[in-house]
Amino acid sequence: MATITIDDKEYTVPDGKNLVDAAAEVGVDIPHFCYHPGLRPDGNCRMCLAEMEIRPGQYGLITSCNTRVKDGMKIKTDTPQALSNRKGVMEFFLLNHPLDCPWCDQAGECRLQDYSFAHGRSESRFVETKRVPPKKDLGSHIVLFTTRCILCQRCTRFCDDIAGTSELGIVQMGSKSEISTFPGRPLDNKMSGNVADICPVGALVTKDFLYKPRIWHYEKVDTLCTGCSSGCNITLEVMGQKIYRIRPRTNLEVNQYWMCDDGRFGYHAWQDVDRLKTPLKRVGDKLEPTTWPEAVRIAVEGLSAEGGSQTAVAGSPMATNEENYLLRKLAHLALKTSHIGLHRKPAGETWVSKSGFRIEGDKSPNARGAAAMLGAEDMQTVFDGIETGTVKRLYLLGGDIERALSETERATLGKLDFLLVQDVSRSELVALAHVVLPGAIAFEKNGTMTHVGGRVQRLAAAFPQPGGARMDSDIIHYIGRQLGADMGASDPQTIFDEIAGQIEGYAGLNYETIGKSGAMTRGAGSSEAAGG
Amino acid sequence: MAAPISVLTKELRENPRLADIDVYIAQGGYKTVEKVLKSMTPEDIVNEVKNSGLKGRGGAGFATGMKWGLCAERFPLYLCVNGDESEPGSFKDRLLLEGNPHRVIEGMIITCFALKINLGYLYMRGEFFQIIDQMEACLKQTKAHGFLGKDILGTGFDLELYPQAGAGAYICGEETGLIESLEGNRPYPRLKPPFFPAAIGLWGQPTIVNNVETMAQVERILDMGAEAYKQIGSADSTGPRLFGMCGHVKKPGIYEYDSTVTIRELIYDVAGGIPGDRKLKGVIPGGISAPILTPLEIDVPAEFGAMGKIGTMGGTGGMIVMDETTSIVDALLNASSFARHESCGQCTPCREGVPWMNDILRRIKEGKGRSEDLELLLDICVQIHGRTVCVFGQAPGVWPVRTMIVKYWPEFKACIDQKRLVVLPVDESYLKPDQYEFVPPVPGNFRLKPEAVAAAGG
Repeated sequence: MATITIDDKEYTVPDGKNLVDAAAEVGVDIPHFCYHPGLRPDGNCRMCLAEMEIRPGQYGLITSCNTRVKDGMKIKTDTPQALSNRKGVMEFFLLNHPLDCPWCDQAGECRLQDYSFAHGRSESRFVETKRVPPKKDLGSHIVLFTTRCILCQRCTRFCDDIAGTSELGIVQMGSKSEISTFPGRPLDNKMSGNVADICPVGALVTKDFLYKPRIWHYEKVDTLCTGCSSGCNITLEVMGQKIYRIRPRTNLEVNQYWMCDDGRFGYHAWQDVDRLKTPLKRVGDKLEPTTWPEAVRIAVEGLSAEGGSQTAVAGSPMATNEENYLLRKLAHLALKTSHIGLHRKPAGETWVSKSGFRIEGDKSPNARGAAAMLGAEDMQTVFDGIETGTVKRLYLLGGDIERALSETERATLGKLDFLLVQDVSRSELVALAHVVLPGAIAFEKNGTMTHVGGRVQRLAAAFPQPGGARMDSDIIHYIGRQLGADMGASDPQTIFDEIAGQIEGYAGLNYETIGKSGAMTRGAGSSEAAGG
Repeated sequence: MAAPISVLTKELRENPRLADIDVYIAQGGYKTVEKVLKSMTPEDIVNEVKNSGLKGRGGAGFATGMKWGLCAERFPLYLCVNGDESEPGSFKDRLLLEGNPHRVIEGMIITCFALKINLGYLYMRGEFFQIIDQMEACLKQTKAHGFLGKDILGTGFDLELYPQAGAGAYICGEETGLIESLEGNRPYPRLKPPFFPAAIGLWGQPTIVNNVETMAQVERILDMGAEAYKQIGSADSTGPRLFGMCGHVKKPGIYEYDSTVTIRELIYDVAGGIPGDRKLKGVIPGGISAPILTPLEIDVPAEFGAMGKIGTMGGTGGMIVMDETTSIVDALLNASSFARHESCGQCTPCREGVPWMNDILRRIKEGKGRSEDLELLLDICVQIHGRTVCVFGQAPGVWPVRTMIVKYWPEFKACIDQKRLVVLPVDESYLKPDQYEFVPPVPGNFRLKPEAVAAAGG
């Protein structure tokens, strides 16, 4: 730790920490545009200049973003020099800025706006002609409003150092400088959306969010991305039943400041999918809508036939820890069966960026957690049971709109006497079911998931399930009770407390310790999932 | 009146074919390298250069020996010789590169030997097409003669030197811009700290960046010895200087003198005075960045120290002489247009402020100046000065603007008041030295004295 003085007050901060970050940590804002904690400092915007004591009593301007704190360092952020510099830099930035805030997507979360109020002039001294470079389409997801750009180069540094794809650069020089792609080489890397997040002004915007309602209309929900097993922390921006934007939420242990485009823009697939809004029952070749009481009656009858011992349950890597745990509980208490499986999704290839950001090949968010909750790694024993006739009935959690079935899976599942599928859309699984219960998607439920490295993190519901769909934990809990078992609590938080007492590696954890940024399970780090 | 000297330019004036190594050797070339490599230790050389009092000839006049002494001993070290001579009014490096390339190479070999450097680059501005081709040929000859390569002259010292062409940007003359350019990047100057070349330079290693002329001077020092070298010039500015006289003079060209020569002597005696014997209006004494001197200020010796004291700088020694027909407003617009064109665009104050000043100056020239424009220009100078990544924001960006507006306040006022480009009678166009003050230590930091503004009708 280092003791430093900022504006005549002493603070203790981590030694060697970046001055901008160290000051922010103790509540002192050093204004900056080009600095971003996830990128190497560049010092080009000059907004962060402060004064540092060079010799006793003598102060000189330094670039804060490029300065690491040292014990005894004395900093002043409010000297006439520093204040005049901020005012000057603000004036320079606005000279050629179009001041088109009324239709700029950044309005409300724009550093130019905020700092202009805090440090700028109320009137312009510029009477010359503004330069008006044209708007540019940079790639599949990103548009550059060139006039608004302040050339802080956060985006170019991101592409160079984080994505490692270097699509963006600067063309021309001096006041004609512009951010640009190379001819025929669009900004199409797997993380391109991040450049819109880190752009401190409204220059880089995603086509997805272009001209959407102003940012202050949205409710923000901190949750997880469920696009792969990386468990990126995200914030949903929601109005009514609709997501308008997803942005990464900083978690240095998981995704740092970033997320991939698949996760960022993937919500459309979930939002636009034709959701199951009522239970379905099989009538001949067809599945027809039915009521909840009727569906539950069919389910209970089907599952409990022959006492339930020939019934298997299969959890889902798309479902939360709590849901999978409840399903195992149902198997043990209500069906007294030991046939438990996990219906995994086949993994593809993992992509790793230059900075080490990972897009996991396993596109299910909770395979590791589900395996721990169920005490099952895959469907092998269940499928073996079906083939040998010891398993005749199955309660299967789905929840994946993209999960295709292999020929073998289809054939094996086809041999069942009874298949209960809990799912969100008319998936290939649903097509084989005898009764279907409509569950929830990740944006609609509370619970926890365990990412590929063994970190438990919380999922938060942004809006209720549509129509007659229900939260999966509620459904499992209800079915369990109808089967005559004491299922205990049904709310995810209490279920998790039970998990902490039951599942190896989860001891001592609860929703508070998990918090917003998650907590590591014990034994994590080994590739083996904690057993249950 | 100081007498011309011929330390750097003697062979060059006598023989036009010095780029041919055989001619150069016949003139006594490469003897210094041979002497130094065979009879001196690196420490001896560094001490000799320190003792010589040599100040770098790139413009800032920083003591070369001290610069060498600051270099971290974290091997490998690199040498970059700065031949990106782009400062308007400067053409001395070109003369040396063109007329006596082997002397520059000799200086580089000696410097590398002194600093235990095994790899050096000679970075030349891209417009020097022929010079670059010639330099490539020269380096091949030097290697063929055994002065470069492995085990030079049997001393065990290895050295490779490579020529590198710039792509025509002024900013590549900034030492860290040059290094970025050499590395193949956009030549955005680096942040200092931490990227002082002597600590973290080319490829992250300690690097010495010296000017072309400095290299030639190093060769001279080691040839004649520091004691003899020190006898030339004054204690403040030792050794020969190359003064490039251009603009309104009868005999433009490069002249070799020592630093005791005054600016007046350089204009009127050395360069033959002003064509038509018109009156002098001002002289920019060391490349466009060097703050202008009025006719009342030219009795100063061309020493780095003496020039610094009156708020200007020795700079590159390239003098732009302007006679009474010159509009200072137009001259400043010209200088400002250069700065606008060559601002690299990396940091905000220079990228945005310099073009803004240029727009305002153009407006003033076109007769659309407003009464508040001069104060605005001076205020923009404050907003740029000392707040940029590199010194170029202020050198060509701020210093000429601030100095010319302050010193030639009446002419600027006249332009604005009469709403047209006005060239005042020369004696009325500038202020007297007691009407403005210089606030040291940074060059060009001139301020009007309020009573002077009143006296000038402002």
